[in-house]
Amino acid sequence: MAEQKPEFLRFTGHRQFAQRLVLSTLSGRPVHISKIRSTSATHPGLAPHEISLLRLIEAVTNGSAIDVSYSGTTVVYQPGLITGTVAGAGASVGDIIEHSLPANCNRGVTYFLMPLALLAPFSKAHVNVRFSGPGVITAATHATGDVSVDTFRTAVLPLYALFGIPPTRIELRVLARSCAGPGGRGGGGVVELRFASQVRLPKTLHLNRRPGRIRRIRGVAYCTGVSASHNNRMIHAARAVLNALVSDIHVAAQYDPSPLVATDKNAPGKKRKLGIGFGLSLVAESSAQGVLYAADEVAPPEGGVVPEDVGTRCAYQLLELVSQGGCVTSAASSTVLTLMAMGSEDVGRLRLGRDVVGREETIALARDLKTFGASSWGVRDIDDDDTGDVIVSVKGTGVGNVGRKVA
Amino acid sequence: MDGQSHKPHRQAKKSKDKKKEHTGAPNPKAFTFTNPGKLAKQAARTHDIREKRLHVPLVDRVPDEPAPRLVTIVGPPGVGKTTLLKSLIRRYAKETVSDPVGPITIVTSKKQRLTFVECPNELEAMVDIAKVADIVLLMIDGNYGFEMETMEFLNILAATGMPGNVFGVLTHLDLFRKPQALKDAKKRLKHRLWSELYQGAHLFYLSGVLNGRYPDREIHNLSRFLSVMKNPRPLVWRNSHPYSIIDNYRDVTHPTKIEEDEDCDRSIELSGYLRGTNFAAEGQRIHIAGLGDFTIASMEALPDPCPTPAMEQALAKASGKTGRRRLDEKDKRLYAPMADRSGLKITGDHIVITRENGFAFDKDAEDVERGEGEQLIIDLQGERRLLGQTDHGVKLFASGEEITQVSEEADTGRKSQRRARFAERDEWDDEELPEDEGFVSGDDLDGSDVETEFNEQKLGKMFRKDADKTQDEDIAFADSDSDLGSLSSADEGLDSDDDDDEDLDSDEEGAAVRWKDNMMQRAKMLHGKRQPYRAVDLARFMYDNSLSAKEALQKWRGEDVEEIEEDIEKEEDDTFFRRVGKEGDDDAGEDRYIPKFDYEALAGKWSTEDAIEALRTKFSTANLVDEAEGDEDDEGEDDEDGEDEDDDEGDGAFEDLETGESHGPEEAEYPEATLEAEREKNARRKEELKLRFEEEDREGFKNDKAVARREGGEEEFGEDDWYESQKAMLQKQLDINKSEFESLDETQRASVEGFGAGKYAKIILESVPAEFVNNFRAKIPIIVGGLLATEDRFGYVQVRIKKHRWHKKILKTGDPLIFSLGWRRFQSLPIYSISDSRIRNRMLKYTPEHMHCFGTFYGPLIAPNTGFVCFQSFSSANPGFRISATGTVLSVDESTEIVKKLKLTGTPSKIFKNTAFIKDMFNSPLEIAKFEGAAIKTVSGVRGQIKRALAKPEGHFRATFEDKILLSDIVFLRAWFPIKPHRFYNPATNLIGWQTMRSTGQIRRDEDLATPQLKNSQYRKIERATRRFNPLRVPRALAADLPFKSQIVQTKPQKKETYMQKRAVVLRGEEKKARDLMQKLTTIRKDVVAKRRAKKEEKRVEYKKKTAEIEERLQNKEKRESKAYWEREGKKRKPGDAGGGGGKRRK
Repeated sequence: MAEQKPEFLRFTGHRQFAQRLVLSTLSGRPVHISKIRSTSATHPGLAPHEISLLRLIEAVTNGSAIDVSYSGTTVVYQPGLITGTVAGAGASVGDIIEHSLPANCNRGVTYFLMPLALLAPFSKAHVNVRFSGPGVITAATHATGDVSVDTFRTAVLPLYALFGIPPTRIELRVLARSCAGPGGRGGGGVVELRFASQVRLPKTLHLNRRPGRIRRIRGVAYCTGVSASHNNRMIHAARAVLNALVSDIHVAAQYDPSPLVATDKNAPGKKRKLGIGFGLSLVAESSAQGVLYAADEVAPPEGGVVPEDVGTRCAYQLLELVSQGGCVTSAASSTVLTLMAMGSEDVGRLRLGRDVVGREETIALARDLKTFGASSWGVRDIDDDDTGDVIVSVKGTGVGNVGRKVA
Repeated sequence: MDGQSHKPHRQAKKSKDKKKEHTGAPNPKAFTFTNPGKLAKQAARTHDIREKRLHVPLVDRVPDEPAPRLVTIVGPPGVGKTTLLKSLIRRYAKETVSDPVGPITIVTSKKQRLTFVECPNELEAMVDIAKVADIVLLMIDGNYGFEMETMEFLNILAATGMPGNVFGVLTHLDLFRKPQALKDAKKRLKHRLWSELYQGAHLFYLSGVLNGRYPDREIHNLSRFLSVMKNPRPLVWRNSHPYSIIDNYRDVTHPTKIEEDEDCDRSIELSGYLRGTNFAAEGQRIHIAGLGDFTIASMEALPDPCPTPAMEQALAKASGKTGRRRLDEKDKRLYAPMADRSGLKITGDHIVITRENGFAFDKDAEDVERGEGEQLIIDLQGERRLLGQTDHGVKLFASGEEITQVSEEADTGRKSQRRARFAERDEWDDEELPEDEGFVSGDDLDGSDVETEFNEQKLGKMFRKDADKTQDEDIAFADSDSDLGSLSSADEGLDSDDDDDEDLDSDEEGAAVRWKDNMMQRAKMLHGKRQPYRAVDLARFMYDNSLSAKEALQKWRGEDVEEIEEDIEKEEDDTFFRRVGKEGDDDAGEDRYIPKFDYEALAGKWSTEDAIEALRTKFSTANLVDEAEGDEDDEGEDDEDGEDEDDDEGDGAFEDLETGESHGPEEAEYPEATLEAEREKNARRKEELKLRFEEEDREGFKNDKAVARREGGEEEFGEDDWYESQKAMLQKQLDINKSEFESLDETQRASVEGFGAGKYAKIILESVPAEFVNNFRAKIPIIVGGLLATEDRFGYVQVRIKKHRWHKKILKTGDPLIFSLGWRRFQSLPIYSISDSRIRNRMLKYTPEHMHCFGTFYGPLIAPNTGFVCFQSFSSANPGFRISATGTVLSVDESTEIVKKLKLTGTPSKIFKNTAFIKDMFNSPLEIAKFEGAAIKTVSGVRGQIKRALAKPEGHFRATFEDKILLSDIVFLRAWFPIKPHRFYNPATNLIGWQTMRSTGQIRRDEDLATPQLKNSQYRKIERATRRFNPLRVPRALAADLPFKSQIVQTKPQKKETYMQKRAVVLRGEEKKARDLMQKLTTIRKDVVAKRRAKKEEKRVEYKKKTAEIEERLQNKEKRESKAYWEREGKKRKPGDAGGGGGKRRK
């Protein structure tokens, strides 16, 4: 029985928690994360959303072992194989895994969707997960900086197509919308991700040319539990800024009544309205294939912001992101770079804006990828124009999907 | 002659209908096919043939300078492997190697090298070599035919991915006496090989041995074939894994460690050509077949020990100097570190040096070419020196100069006033700066200039003579550091040095002030001229783990890290918790997908027209003409954009729209100006349209995609050329890989690319068992295979497996089996199963005889579609075919779902109508609770259901059936019991000695244990009591009510006595006498017959004896004859005395 377990990769701190779990699951290296908010006097240890994420990963994998220390400041995670939704194992209702988020969760549901979508192409079976419960925030979140599900659907999921992962079999259904509840915690949304495109080895991608010119702007304005006119006001304000640049702007308005969430388990009849608010998500589409800039803005849960402000801020944010340049914005860069690193053993090129590369998250991703055994990135300036963008060349590790069955 | 009549011409066939008159209209038959089906069939056939040629396009990752092809020579012992190897070496390198062991690399042509490996006759070695061989020379004794090893090797090859080039080599052909027999044997063996490989497989014939080598002509033919070989289709496994075959090894453990403990873990250095994909720059996991898994401690690319002439030329061209060439120096055409070439041979822990002319050297002779071994001896013969007594100087620092002597003046103190280092630097930098691009190259240079001037200042505080530090200095340090801030932050090499410098300089106030002034200026100047932070720096800081991500970014941007830290330092004294507070801030940060924006600033920025217009270039509404012009004069001034907005420029006439005034040269010129302006406007619009077209049209030269297409030389592919287009795409990606690596600078490239195939590299491994070194045999090939991330994990592997048809026994579930899967060879306990109507996997006790089945075992997670071979043991002790099974991986998982059937039986204890109480199936109500609602069945097929446990007798339950059951019925519950394979993994570490797990049967045999026989499992005689059924009794009342048709007909018992019953029969008189006589006669007759039989028996025994004698004599004769025949034949078959090479023939 001479079987040597590969030793744990050790990390500290709570930053990049989701990313490390994803990389660990994909590469199969066990991780040991310590000192998670150990200095915090009020909330030491894992936050509710992180525990939820651990549970989610456990649900879609087989054979993973999670060990959280008593204080919650240390997590030992031994990854299993990504199995997805297998009937009889974890899937409770039909062919779908029901994942309930707790009421004190303050991250948007995209915090869970982003890692889940990264795991999904490498899964053995389809990944169908429905997020429900009193903690699902489908809107962008103000305090924690999560994007809305609309941005995820329109600006992140289409990028999977570039890796040879057919987008027609990926579906995100927003069954109920919700903004963040009071104090930024909780919501009542229901979101369902159906990811039926499993691949053996995603190919790499080459977005090294100029990002093209922005042709049109699409978007979704959503409001839950407030007057539907907020939508129009946001759209109007955003258009006021953007009309000067693009004429082809279409922003859909989505009004929903605020979700009713049971407050008390013992009294199911007792419900209250949760997740009232409004926000705007804008996506600028470029003439080059696969280049999308997405901006998200939402009214803070404590209120006090008029819809016009949200609209203009979102538009400004979009302009700022466009001016940062590159082919991928910061919201989607980690997804793209991780897929490139996990894909075939070829070199892919990605053009990123200087400010996108120069984010702490990007640097941390590069370091984490290297720790998990991927080769380091090549970084070089673009020399044929003066945009100041940076080309990151990523060599894949050829990890791919071992779980996928043949015949 | 006249009478001769010629045969008359045959009459032309009379067509039935008279030929029609030509009408002049086009002949309809002229433009059709004579045979309409034929063309279609022909077309179909050509298409079939064309399609058959196509294979799924695979990436070919063979680099430009590939590693030498690996040629292995395989065959049973005594077949002439070594002789062939020697002959080939002789043919290519014109050298003689007396004991060729280990891989031998030879330059064979201008651009090609071959590595020859002789595969020893051990199954482990054959398995390993089959995984890496590019070309296989399969040696067959022509006089004997195929042997077991050959067939085994062919089957291993087939299971691990057949390399395209397998050649048969027939030897010992000189032993045939009759030409016809030789011809027949050749033909027979050729066809046998063809049926093993493919029709038309190459077979070479080697006849006798001359001078210990095969005839030159035959070897020449073979070598020609090896040289002109094309690249075969790459194998998937080798195309996705890095690997190497080791051609040299060294034990690099520290000798003291070995002295302390003989069996300590060693560090070894393996070197060989890298093959397959790239080895990772660091932390590559590898498996050495027969040794185990390791992480490469360090790796280093070495210069190629056996370069091809083409490579040497290229190198000479690149470096600009031709290599040292001397007449007496031979071309290095052979590299065989493990063989005894050039008089040096390393075997395990000792070195054998052979030299023909004895061991007397002139060690002072300079220009003598010496072998490695000779050099070693010379070094040994050199006079002993004390420890530390060298010709070399002392080097205090890694980068410092060597000090050979200590100058006298060194101790006399300073002669001149010390000058601040910065002043020097300043001058120097000032000169340099104009060319300097910024801080980066300054950085690079910094390393060197610090070295030169650092010799004394770099010394630590301890070494300093005037170590008079005072409190004042500390303060001075602090305040100067803040001044230094911007400089040191940008200059990473400096900030550690600065404090030292200042300590030294603090006593010289004036100087300090001077250089400080200077520095401020310099810093300002630099800030002014600073280029935008460059990507190259980022690549360096990004992976510098001593910096946090934040610090790395700050460093890259050249922001002041120092000042912040300094602030903290200042406040540290009074607020003790400050630092912690700062960390707390860091803690509070969460990962964000939306970066934080200052919306006030954003609003300020984007509400201005200028900013919007500047951004317009990124939108499709951009004015391309302006942009193009902007680009042109971009080099001169940057802020042109503001003026770019107005369309009409150039003639100086423009209109101020706000004031309504128009400024222009002349009012009078206005009409002409308008005309001109109109023209101008039109021209601009045309220009704009043209530019837009160029950008948006598919072929436009400003369209990025089109540019890429043109650059990549991508051709257009039609619908039918799907295959070609796929191949082109793969090729394009390969080109991109290459160009991308080339565009990176050296340091980045090494870490991104890793160690590419074709390089010669040295791999250092730590903690290798000492047995590896002790048991090392150069004959056994050592193969280093890189592991992918998932192959390091363990779990259950589901495979499709089939017992080999030549293997004698079937395989039993749970018996240990040795798998050769991926790079690894290991023993595991497979469980066989079969899909039961696609619902479940049912366990099988034994593998089916001629069918595939599933197997599940615990082992490394190897990607699906990988082939494997299985053995029950590697030893050659068992005479049969050793490959027991082959198959492919289907899937990997962390759990299994194999079940076996479980039947629970019970008997009814009480029966009601359709309900019955069942006993003896369960023991407790808890068990029953688990099976509530389960379907049950009686033997006779009455179906039912378990309802509930009974309260009273433990383990009884109530069940309902579709009909009333009998008390004698047995009730079954059919259930499925999950089986889990044992988590047993035993790597076959044959290089360091290993023990296999034995099967139960083997242990019983070895330990002489009887197989336990369970009483219940034994067969007994089946006793079936005849069942007696009571007659059917219909109650009289019911019978009376039955309709007439169903009335039961029953005959009443007879009341009167019958005729026969009334009478009795008695013998009398004559009859009685006759009977008596007859009895006597038969008795006599029986006695006679018995006597006759006894006599006959006697005679038969005699006869049998006689025939047995004859039989024996006949058999003896036959035996004698056959013995004589085989003696005669055997002599023919023994290797002739002419060759004398292969003395290792077994038997």
